[in-house]
Amino acid sequence: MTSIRCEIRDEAIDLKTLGELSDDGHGAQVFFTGAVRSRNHGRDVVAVEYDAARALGERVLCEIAEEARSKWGASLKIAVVHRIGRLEVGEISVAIAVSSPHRDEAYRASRYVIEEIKKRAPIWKKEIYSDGETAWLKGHALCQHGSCEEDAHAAI
Amino acid sequence: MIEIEVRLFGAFRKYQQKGNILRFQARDDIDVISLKRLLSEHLQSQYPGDAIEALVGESAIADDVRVLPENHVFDRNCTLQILPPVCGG
Repeated sequence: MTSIRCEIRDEAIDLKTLGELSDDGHGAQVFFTGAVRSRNHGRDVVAVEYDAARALGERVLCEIAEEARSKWGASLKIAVVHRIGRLEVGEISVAIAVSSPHRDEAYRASRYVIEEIKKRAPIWKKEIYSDGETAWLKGHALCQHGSCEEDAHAAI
Repeated sequence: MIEIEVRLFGAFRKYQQKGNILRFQARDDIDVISLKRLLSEHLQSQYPGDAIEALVGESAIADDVRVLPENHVFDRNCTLQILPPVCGG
């Protein structure tokens, strides 16, 4: 496997291929998955629709993974996969795998990647509620001027 | 004049008609701030009850490679993306 694999896909994430990070010099692999949960902010969620600017998004995912390698070791191998489209409760929306010589850098890199994805990746989610209503969730503004607010409400 | 295509994502999908692309003609020295204003006025005129100006104000303009700074000037036909506040993961 190359050192970094980044993908935004429509199909279900295959966790078996995510784990193909073998390296004789690595003693640690950390796997993170994020899944759609059934309640959010007091509302019953039946599904989530993810949207993404795919080309830019994959570029951003790879940038984040490269940053993690620069922080915690060029020997790290990182796979990041984010799914788009409609996901039912329980389905995996994002998966991150990190392989490293030791566990400390694997845990740190994994945490870094998911936190940066939430702030920087051009990906959006619309929750679908049991009462039929929908809402695009609050997010982090990417624009670069002072009047943009963090955690701006994007729901319309 | 130049032709600018803007792909819509996230909360902007509500405003897509034929595909997720809006097309504009603009002067060939338009910057990001002015483009956002143009986009905001265009959408607001069609959806007067929506808080479009605020949404556009919170959103970034990007090409396929990067988010563009506000002082970026467009001098040729291009395809861009408007990115509302993000929440992946």
